[in-house]
Formats: sequence, C-alpha cells, structure tokens
Amino acid sequence: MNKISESIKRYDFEDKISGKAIYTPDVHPEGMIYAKTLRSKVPRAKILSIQTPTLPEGYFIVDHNDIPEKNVIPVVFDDQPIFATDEVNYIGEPILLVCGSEKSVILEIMDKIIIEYQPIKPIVSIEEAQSCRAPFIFKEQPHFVHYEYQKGNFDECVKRAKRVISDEFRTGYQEQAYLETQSMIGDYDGHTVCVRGSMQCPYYIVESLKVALGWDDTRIRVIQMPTGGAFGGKEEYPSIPGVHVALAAIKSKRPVQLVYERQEDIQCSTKRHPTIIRINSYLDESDDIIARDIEVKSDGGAYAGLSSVVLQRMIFSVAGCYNVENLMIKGTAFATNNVVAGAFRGFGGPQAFYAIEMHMENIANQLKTDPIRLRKKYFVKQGDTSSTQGVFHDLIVLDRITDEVTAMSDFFEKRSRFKSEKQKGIGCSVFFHGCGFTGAGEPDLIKPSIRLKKDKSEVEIFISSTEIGQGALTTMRKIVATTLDIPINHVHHNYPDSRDCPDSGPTVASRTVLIVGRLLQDCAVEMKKRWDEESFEITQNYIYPSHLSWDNQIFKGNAYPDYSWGANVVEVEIDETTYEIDVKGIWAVYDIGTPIDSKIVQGQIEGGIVQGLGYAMMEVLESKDGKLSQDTFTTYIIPSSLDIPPIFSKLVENPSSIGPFGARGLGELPLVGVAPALASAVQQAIGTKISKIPITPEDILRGAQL
Amino acid sequence: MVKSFRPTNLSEALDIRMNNDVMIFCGGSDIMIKYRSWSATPAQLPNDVMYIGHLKELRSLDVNPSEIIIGAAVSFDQFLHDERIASMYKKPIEQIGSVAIRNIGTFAGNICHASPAGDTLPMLYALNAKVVLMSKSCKRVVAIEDFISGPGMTCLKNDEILTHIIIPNTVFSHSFYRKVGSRKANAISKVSVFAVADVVEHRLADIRIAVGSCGPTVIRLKDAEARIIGSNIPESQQMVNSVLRMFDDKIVPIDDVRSTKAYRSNVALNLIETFLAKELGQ
Amino acid sequence: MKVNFVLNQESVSVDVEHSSRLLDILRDLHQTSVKEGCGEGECGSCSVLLNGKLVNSCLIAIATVEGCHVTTLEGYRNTERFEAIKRGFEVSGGVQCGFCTPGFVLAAEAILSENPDPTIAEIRKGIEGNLCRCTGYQMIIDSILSAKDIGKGLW
Repeated sequence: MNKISESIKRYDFEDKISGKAIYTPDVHPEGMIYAKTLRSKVPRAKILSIQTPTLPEGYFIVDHNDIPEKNVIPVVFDDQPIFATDEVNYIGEPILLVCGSEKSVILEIMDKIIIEYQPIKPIVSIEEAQSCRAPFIFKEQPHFVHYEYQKGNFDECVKRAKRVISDEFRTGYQEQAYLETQSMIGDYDGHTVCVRGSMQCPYYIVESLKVALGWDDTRIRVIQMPTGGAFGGKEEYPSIPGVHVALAAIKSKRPVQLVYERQEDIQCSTKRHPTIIRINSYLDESDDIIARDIEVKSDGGAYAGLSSVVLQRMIFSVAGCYNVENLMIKGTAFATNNVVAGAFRGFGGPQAFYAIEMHMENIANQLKTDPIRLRKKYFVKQGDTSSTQGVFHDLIVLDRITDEVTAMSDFFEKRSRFKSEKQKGIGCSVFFHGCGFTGAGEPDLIKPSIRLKKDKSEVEIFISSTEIGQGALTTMRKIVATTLDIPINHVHHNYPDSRDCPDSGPTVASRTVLIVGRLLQDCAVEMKKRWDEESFEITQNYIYPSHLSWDNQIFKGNAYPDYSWGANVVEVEIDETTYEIDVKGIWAVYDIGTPIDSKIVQGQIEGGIVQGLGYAMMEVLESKDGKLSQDTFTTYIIPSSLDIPPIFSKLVENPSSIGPFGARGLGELPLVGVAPALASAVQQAIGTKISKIPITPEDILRGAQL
Repeated sequence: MVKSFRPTNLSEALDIRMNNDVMIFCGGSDIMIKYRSWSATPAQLPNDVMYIGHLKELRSLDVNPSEIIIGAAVSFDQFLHDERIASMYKKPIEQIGSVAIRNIGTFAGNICHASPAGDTLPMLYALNAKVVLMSKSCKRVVAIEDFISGPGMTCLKNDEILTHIIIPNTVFSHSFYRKVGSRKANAISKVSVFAVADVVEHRLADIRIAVGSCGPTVIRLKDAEARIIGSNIPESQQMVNSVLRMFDDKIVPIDDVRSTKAYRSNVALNLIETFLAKELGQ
Repeated sequence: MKVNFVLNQESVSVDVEHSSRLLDILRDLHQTSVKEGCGEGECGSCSVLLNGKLVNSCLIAIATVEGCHVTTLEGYRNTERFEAIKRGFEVSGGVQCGFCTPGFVLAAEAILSENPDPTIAEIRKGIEGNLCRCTGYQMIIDSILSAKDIGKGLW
C-alpha cells in the first residue's frame, strides 16, 4: 500500500465524537432572532395580493422589496428569484421571511398572512412539458436546455443494421436526507454581512450575495460551519437560505438564524432529477453493436438551477463504458412546476448508468450471451475515445475490475445456478464517474486557486473546499504533509472563511482530491524548494493539462479531466410471500487511483453503496400535481441498520496521471453502479423485465411471474 | 394556554378526568408527533392534558397462569424484559419502532391511538384481549374489538381512563407473526398477520387469525376460524382455500402513501396461507 | 410548569410549558450535542438516556421528566466507558459528518449496558432507531464491536 493510503485519525474526530463540534443550529450569538420562510402552497399561480397583519414591535418581514440589487439566485441561468414577486412556480417556493425574537409570535404572524393566488394550470410531468404550450415556465420554450451531439457515422450504421434493440427506462426522485437540515446564520455589523452555515460551496454564496446586494468582496464574508451531511443537497441550494438570512440581518442589524424543519427541507430543497431514458442499439449481421441512439429527458422542476450541468453529465455518461463508435445522443431538461431538481451525489450518473447497464443486460438476454462477456467485448481501453471523442489517456483496467468482482461474488456460478432456482438472481454493472468539472469547466468557469502559508515549522492550507463528512480536513493535510515530508500535526486547515481562503472551487464533482489536492501537492512541491525561508505564502492557480481539450459548442473532447471506474455485483432473493427483496450481498471493485486514506475511502464506499441501495429499492419519492407525497422521515424511507446487506469492496490500484499521488475522485462513484446491478438481479429472480427504479415489493407483485 | 394536570395517584387522576375535558398523555409519542410545532416551541396540544405515565398503579405488569395484566403506563420495553411472558407475545412488540420508541411507548397508547396499522392490535384481537376502563364511579371491561370502533376512534368515555389491558394467558402450540413495512426497522406496518393455533393430536383445537393494516380496524373472522376448528392437520388445500376466500371477501385495504390495495390483500392472503399450509403442518 | 430533574448528575429545575420537548429544554441548557434531525422520532439524532434508557428527546414532554435522570453526551463523555466507545469509533472509522454521532454513542452505551458482549445482530437491532446517511452503518457496527473489546470489564 502506498504510504499515504495508511489511515490516520481524522482531524474532526475528537470534536465530533465528544459532541463538541458546533453546527449552525448550535450557535446562539447574543441578540439572535429567528427567521421563518413563508412558502407557496400551490404549484403555479400569479400572486394577486399579500395581506400582512400589523406586526408587533421587533417583528418584521423580508421580501423582494428588501433586495438592493437583483432578485436573482445566480446558478447557470438567472431565472430563479430570491423571493417570489408576482408569480410562484413550485410548492415551497419562498415568498417572504417573518423574523423576530419569539418563535411562537412568528408562527402567529404567519398564520395571519393571506396570499391571494390566481392559479395557472401547472405542468407536472415530463410528458406534460413535452406537449405544453404557452404560458411557458422558462423563456418561451418547454425546456431549460436541449443538447445533441454525435460521434462517427451514425446514419450510415443505422442503414446497414440488421436489428434494433430498444429500451425505455424511468428513474425517480431521490432526497439527499442529510441529517442536519439546511441551516444559516446571518450577521451584519453595519458594513460587512457575514453568512455562516451548512454548505458545500462558500463561494457560491459569496457570488449570490454579490448579485443580490451589489456589494463588493470587502463587504461580504461567508464561513462554512461543521456540516451535517450534504451529498449535493448543499451545493447550489444553500444560496437561497444564505441570501435570505443575509437580507434579514442587514435589515435588522441583529444576528438571524434560519434553520429548516425536516418536512420543509424535503418539500422545498433540490432533489435528484427524475428521468426517462430511451436507448436504441443497432446491431449488424454478426450481432455486433455498431451504433446507438440515446435520448435523455429529465424533469428539472420550476427553475433551471443546475439542470443543464446534470443533463450534460447524463449525456456524457449514458454511452457507458463501451466503445461503440457511432452515436447520436440527445438530452432535454424540461421545466415543470415540480420541486427544483439539482445536485445529488452522482449528478446524473446514477440515472445514465441505470439505463445503459440495464440496456446491456437486456441485449445480453436477447443475444443469449452472458452479460460480462458482452460488456468486455466493448470495454473502452487506453487510447480509445469517449462518446465525446476525448482520448482516454490513462490505462483503463475494466477487465481487471470486472474479473475481480465476478470472482469475489461467484457471479458466473450463481448466474447459471439461479436460472433454475426460483426467486434468486444476480446482476452486475460496470460504470465510471468523470471526476472534476465537465469539459473545460475547471479552467474556464472555476479557475481554482489555492494558497499555502509557511510560518516557521507550521504550514496552513487555504482552500474553499469544505469538510462535509468525506474527510477533506484530513486528506488535504495528508497530501501537503507527505509532499513536504513534515509531521502532519504541523499542517493546519480550518473550515473555509471567504475572508482568507481563495476560491479553489466548489466541493462537488469528485474534484476535491483530484483537482484541489493536486494543486496543493504542486504548491507544496514549490514550498519545499523554499523550505529554508522562514515565513512566506504561495498561491497556486490551476493549469488545464495540455493533453486535454474541450469544445463546449459541439461537446467534443475530454468531457472530464479524469475518470474513476467501477463494477458492482448484487445478489438477491425475493420473498415469495411478501415480494420483498432480500439483498444477499453487494460486491464492489473500484479503480480510484491511489487511496489517500484507506478508512476514509472505505467510509465513502459503504456510505455511497447504501445510498445507491436506497435509490434502487427503498427511497420512493413521488410527486402528484406538484406535491411530494413522501415528505417526512416517516414516509421517506432511507435505509436503517437492519436494511444493509453484507458489502464486500476492493480497490484496484491504477494510478492517475494527474491526481495527487495518483489519486482519482471517489465521492460519487460508489452510488452510481448499485441500482442497475440490483435491478438486473431482481429481473433474473422474477423473470420479468424491469425498467424503472425504485423497485418496490408492490412493483414486483405487479410484474411477478413467481 | 393549555392547562396541564399531573395527578399523584389514580384516584386523583379519575377525579381530574371527571371534572375536566382533558387529553390523556401516557407515553405520549403519538401525541408529540401529531401536535408538534416549530423546533424549540412546545407541542401545540388542542386541549388540557393529564399526564399519567408516572402513576405507580398503572405501571404494574402482572402475570399469572390465566391472565397477563398490563398497566397502562407499562412500556413495551418493560413488557419485553419480563421473563414470565411467552416469547410468542413478544414478537409483534419487538418490531415496534426502535429501541427508543419501545422504551416510552405503551400498549394503552397504541390501543387508544387506534391506528389501522397499530402494531399491538392484531395480537390483542387474536388473543381476545380486553381493556379495563375506569371512571370515578365505575369500572368496565370491554373486549378490544368492541373498544376500537374505527381509525382513531374508541368508545372511551370522557370520564374514563384505560387503566389495564388483560390478555388471556393461553398456551398455543403454534404462533405466527409477520409485519411488512417499507424497511426492516422503525417502519409503519403496510400489512401484518398475527396468528396462533393449538394443535392437539393432529386436530386443530383452536385457531385465531388477525390481519392488520387491511381495513379501518383489525380483521379477525371468527366464522372462518370456526369453519376449520376441529379439522385434521395438515389442512387440505381445499380447506385452506376456503379460509382464504373468506378473508379475501372481508379485508378492505386501501391505496396510500405506503402501499397499495393489491399488495396488501395479496400479501395478507399469502401470509395466512403460509400459516395454515406450512406452519401448522410442522 | 416547574420540573425538577437530574441532568448529568446535577440537579436542574426549569419552569416551562409542560409540553415543551425535552430536546429543546436540553439544548437551552447548553446540551448542544443533542441534535434535531427530524423532530418525529425517526432519526435518533436527539437520543438521550432517560433513567438509563435510550429515548428520542424530541418525543418527550418535559412534564414527564419530573424526578428523572437524564444523560447527554456532555455528561457521558467524562466516563471511562465513553473512552472505550471513542477508541472503538476511532479505530473503526465510525464518524464522518458527525451529526448522528452523539445519538450513536448513547445508543452504544444502551446496547453495552444491557449486554456487554452483544452479537452483530444485537448491535444492529440496538441501533435500528439511529439513522446515518454517511457511513452505511457497517463501520459504526464495527466501532461498537471494537468498543466492547476495548472496554471489556467496563460494562
């Protein structure tokens, strides 16, 4: 094992195990008041009037009138308002805040606010969005974005194809269910507004504050607090409570706390995009797959948010690990009056891989060949190009990964035996996760920058990456200490404060170790050369590797700076009385390059797999007429300790050429592959094709041939 | 401002109950969920409340050869730890909520909440449990199936407190319990079946089958039971089918956020069949 | 309503609305390790020990706490047993975001005080009411297994 992989005690361990870690709701500065958000109860309407009662002394309302500059939460497009003005587009859309010192009084005031709505016919599904007419939700079109790209000679291949295998798949919503709800505290001292809270991306909030207030950097400060889980749900969403709380603090000049209730959080914060994905594979007379066309449709909800970026990852991933050279790929993110969909671990990958892997399973069944042999025939190799024609520069070890996972799980023996054993099944999936921002996002959009400071024997790390449970406060230190060859307790790293941390980019896209860690490593190498100097600082800016390229107009080139790879096998047995799925085991083999800390890696693997398990079979989240049906922890079911199957995981070490110490990204990969492996296993067990997730016992009953 | 009462003994509690319109608060879990408000604000109780969970008279758990008498304030945990109680009676209780829920929850609370999915109820119905209702002036003992009249509805009078639950301490040769929830821990029941039978020399001397979450209240068909009492074990498939048909006619599950009508009825019948055709044969 | 109880071995007296949640009263008394994750008794982040028994403090009305002993992590972390549990979580990697951790520490105490040598199945059952979204539970189970060995003799 690489020395750096040896596990050390986490830097946040002592505080967290002793209960001393202070999360945002635990902070009560003197004079603090509370804010509560009044939200739309209807999915789409014009607001005709808002009647507020006379407010007692010390209580006030914050709404769009209190926004000095622009009523916009900037994400990719500028369509989402901070507070609704004259229309609402989803249930839960924020209209105003009621603030004051006594919560019971705030509730009384909220009860007396009367909003007069003029309902507009809502668009509540992808199908409705496809056929909808004016009035549109976004610009003058039914979708936020539509993309198309091609590779090779698709049309020619279709002409000479002898057979087409088609599938359509549906994936559902998923809620991040971080244990700590969205929480923020705003402070204003008359000059600077400071927002502290639970977040993944301090600079997203800085940017949102600049847009809303029209102020410059010197008057805006954002500090990350210990964060109780995020998983993408605290990527772009916290800009909303962040700006809300800032406006309230500015208006009152008192510290303001805004902590969401659980039901509120589930109802109004961003969710994983539901999708409909159709894949056609064209086979020639030798039953070789010569071309594919794929269409991805996602439900982006009421505002664009990150739907365009999630869609990009979907369409860049949906061709899978396969070197089919002729492709026609389309994607559309539709606007609906459902809850806004956004970032969630995997970010489009889980949906895309569900579709392509189930489709490959289907092809294997139709061609009567085993699913591994079929996949191996098409696995991409070093030197091949991706679906966007980017060269895979590094060694790819999919054969090795697949051989390991099938050996660990006895896949072939069970697959064959289960053909005659009722209710039993075993399935597999092979997948990747592109690490880092899509395309040239790192150099063009983020432009990450980091700083290291040496003060005698002590070194401090200044980055905007956040510790959200994934171990960033430990792994970044390890990278720097190991590079400098100094004891790790001489390396310091605190929760980021925009006052002193440069923008190294958001903590997303499995980029923290790969991109930010590499920057730290490079910077530490420079620092080491000057180690004799007593005190100095070095700033390091990201340089896009010269062997990569990306054309964002036609989606051509290296869609991601690097890739991590994996394969899963899942074995199930269906209870013939209750149709419940008993998962007998999940086997996982990953190539994440060099692990930076083996225990942290194991934690990410097991946590990601269990979230993938929930996505595949437990976490039912339905929207009816724009309202989520499962919006409490009683009705939205995440796995408990009794629901976890035995999980066996292994790493195949294949160092990255661009990551620090050879490390690649890890955070999202483990979630990506579980659902198709599980669904294929259930498919074998019940003898009926499955085309959606989540799969529940009720679904199995509906489709069963038990 | 809601008034609260904390009597020092049962007699005082009955006085308070007679003279005030109070909501009874025993373990209180269901109440605290139902009336919860914004974090750091008290539960918004709709009327005055009387806390009884601390009353010594209600904390006794008596087990004798003919009856198990459970005081209203006896927690599920207390019940589970009592070694005098047969394990077949503990099966449904072990699967209620979680450790923390079982440390506070009570039979009395579960009964008075009268949810169609109440976890104690199928067993209580199957075992012919009775509840003791006391008021200042009188004490009555009511069969569980007469006490609960519908979802969330009982015949508890305004001056009464449910003080004890009586379960006949009958011995059965076979017992069966299966609860199906959306996950294996801390789940509201989608469908459940509690069944017991006494097989003596290959004949069915007694049988009780109760189905939960498939109707407004627990469903127990005494005529289906009577149909097969006395028959030979193992049952003929014909016999099993006729019992299943009777249940199929009577269970009335619904579609809701947790599950579907079709699933509930299919699984309920599967579970009953498993009991009759497989379990009893052994 | 005036309620007297013992918090981490110190007598405490509060005068509050009787239906106030124990969770909120404890957090007002600076026991910020007691977290609110759901407010509906599903997640166990608000777990405390009430007369030694694990409970969801979000479901406990303060009126029912009269005369009881309440233990939070602020008190429990001064014990030798805590040191064993802490070491168990350290060696087995049972902490990630940390929000559920105080609840799991007290759940571990509840398991081990009932049975100093639990099986894996008993540990899983003992933590069934504590939700974790980060770890997938296995490393927490391993942590409690480690704790029972490290703390042999303490329970």
